[in-house]
Amino acid sequence: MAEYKEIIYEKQRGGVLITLNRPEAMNAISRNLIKELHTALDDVEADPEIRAVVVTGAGRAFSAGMDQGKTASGRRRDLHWPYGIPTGQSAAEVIDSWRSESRNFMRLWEFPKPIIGAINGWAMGAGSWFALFTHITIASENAVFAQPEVRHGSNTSFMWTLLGGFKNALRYGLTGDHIDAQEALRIGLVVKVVPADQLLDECFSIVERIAHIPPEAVKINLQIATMGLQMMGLRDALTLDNQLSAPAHVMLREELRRPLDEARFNEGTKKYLMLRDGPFQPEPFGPRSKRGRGLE
Amino acid sequence: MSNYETILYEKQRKGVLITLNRPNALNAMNQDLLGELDQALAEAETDPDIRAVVLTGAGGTFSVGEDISGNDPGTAWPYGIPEGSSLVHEYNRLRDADRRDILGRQLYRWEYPKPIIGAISGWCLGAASWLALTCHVTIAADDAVFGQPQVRHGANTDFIWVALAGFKNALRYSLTGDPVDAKEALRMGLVNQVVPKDKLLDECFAFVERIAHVPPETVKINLAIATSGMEMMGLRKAWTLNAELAAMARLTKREEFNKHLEDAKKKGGVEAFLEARDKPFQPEPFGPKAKK
Amino acid sequence: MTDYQEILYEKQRGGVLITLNRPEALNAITRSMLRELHQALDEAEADPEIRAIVLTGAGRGFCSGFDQRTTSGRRRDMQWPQGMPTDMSTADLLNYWRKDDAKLLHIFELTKPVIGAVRGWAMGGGCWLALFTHITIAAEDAVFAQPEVRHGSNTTFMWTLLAGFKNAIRYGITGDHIDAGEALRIGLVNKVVPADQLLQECFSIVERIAHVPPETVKINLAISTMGLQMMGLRDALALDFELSVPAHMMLREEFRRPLDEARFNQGTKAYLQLRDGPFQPEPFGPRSKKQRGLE
Repeated sequence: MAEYKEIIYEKQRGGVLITLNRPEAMNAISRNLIKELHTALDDVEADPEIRAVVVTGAGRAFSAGMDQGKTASGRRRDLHWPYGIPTGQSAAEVIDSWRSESRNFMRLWEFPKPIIGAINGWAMGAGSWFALFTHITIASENAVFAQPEVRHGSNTSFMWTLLGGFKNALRYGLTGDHIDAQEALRIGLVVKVVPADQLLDECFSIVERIAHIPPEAVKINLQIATMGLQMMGLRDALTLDNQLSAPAHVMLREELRRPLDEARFNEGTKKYLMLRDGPFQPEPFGPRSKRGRGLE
Repeated sequence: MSNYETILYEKQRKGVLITLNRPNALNAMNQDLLGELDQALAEAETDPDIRAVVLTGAGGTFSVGEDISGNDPGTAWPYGIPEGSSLVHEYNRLRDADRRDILGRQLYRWEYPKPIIGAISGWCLGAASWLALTCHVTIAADDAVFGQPQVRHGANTDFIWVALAGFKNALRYSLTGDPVDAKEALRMGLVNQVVPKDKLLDECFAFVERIAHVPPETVKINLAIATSGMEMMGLRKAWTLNAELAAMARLTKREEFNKHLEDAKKKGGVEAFLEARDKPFQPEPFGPKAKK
Repeated sequence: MTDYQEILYEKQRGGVLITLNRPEALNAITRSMLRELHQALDEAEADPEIRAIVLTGAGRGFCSGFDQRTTSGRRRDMQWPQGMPTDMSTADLLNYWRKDDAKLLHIFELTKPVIGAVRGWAMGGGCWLALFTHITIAAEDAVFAQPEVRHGSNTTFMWTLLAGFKNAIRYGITGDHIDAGEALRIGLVNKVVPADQLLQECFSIVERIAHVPPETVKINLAISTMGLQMMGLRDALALDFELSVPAHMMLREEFRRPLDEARFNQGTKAYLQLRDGPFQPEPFGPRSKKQRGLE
């Protein structure tokens, strides 16, 4: 079996618990983590003892999203203004680099065994997408879903629309506003909310139930749902989504983007986040908003 | 009017109450019943007195699903197909049966020109859940239980659960066959409303009477805006794929999973089969027997 | 800036408040109001100071639907049993009803977010306006309904897209009213707030949107709306618009004639009583809370 550095792989109870394991970085998704995850999924596919996968995060977060510290190119990209293009690159190169035919999430969606998201905490940006692409999603009471990166020039995912309907998806996808576990349940991003200490047990009790059923039948029933939605055009919607990632990342205005980049490069992530998220405080649907919403 | 043996057909209050009527078998659906149901719907379709159909089950329960009480031919292991038969024959038979009996009937009811209202109390399992959920409007009694326990012995689910509840909710229950109670069914969008059991039929017929105040062609068009609209969004394609996958599912038998179930059935009938199948899943997390 | 007669156009707080402004007619939609609305949307789309649009109705209601009296400009006497206006051929009539429901897509496909602020009645065409907005906030007193289906008119697929076919059919084939709580439950609105907080809630969303780069907002809007079109929404709506023709033309004398006669001879009030009387009380309307165990 492979030796993992950024995930933990623990077979148990008829399944496997894959833990995103970069707690010091709130399980931010790095290139290496993606590689390890794919290797782990290869192992899962080949192992007949594993009937389903549970994915969770180490520490307080599920995943804070794509690792901001290390960019896709592995180095910091200073944007040259007024062009809004990294120094020395052409528009053609930049657009092309963002036109990623990302197979990562589709691999989860089309996986032949059920993937259950155990969302233990912060699920931000691509971390929220990861949660949404799981076949069944259970949240702990501490879970928070958000796409704050839309605030600095990034795209949302059509999965929010598929699950929450366009009104809910747009309410949160246009502003990156946080939502707590109860709101996530209400709009359909998760099927159940449980106390934090019951999260993994809830997920593995589902795994154990699945394990009583012939694996080929489980695979067929999984695909009646996932392929059925592809018959309804989901694949086309996600293709469009993927392609719109390019303009989302390259259409950057100097007056909005430059101060954020300068904060990040000169003063660090904390300062950058304050600058980006400050105007949006307080979060109207975040975990601290319960009193204002009459929920406590 | 036709003479029905497995259903009741009772015109009333501007509609017709069609009751699945095999209460000794908990209204298990066999070919006779399904055939009579189609006949009854055809009769109601052309009767101008009937503005909508209410579909319910006799004896306080809707239906436990497909009738599996018959004697099955012996299975040759490890092949998982009936002794002396061939894969080509079995696959062809199952595929044609799914396309004709399940898909064909589903599309007939889906595209029916009058509203079909499910009045669901008690057990609503397996293919009966598909029947109930594909109704245009579904009202549940507070004791209704929806589930697809057939997935536990390797049979298939239906896309209608996804179309109504979203894929996450649908998979939570269709990968395990776990039952859901009326409250959870309402939360997930499987039903419109939950009412006390003794008010179920009255609630449904009060709705029929409202429909009866609206011109019939208008009702027909507005029904189609929803149902054909969803077909425009690809529902028919999803169901077509479903029918193909259903045939495959019926052939996914493994000796280590299925043989002991078939042996139980041979020895002790359906009751023994169900006990053997559902035992590993006890206690049920939801449903009437669930721990509070 | 354009001089609007039947709407108000008030820029504020990073957005614009467009108000359907015929409160004496419960903001019923006329041809000219519709024209002004679409013009205003174009104007807002082109104005870089406007980051989002809030759409509401003047007075205590959102919009009571298409103005029964004036959309055709004149009363149309029907010839029975033909069920056709006395001076039109079938070709004329079909052509007349193949109208521009497709204009509703203008709202949905706008490149800036449109937020519906719905208080009071949102009926018929008014209800559709609310449904086609990208985000919808309802006041506690909001009521959604399509009562015109009772006299020969169509619903919209948007109900199905938002609420699922069961809820859409339950309310779309009878025109039954639903209150704000039911609208929230079935997914027609994002949130319900007290009436005096409605505009504040909507503009606080506008202000949040205004902190996000405009091109990003535009793309993220498209991911949702165009994504749904990838899933066949446009086809579903195209069918919907065509079905409006038979919905309006397939009229039965025994249902339609008494309604028309009440309207022309006695006035709108008598007509509405005749049309809606059989449907009282409304099982999901605002007065039904007690019977539904909600108070």
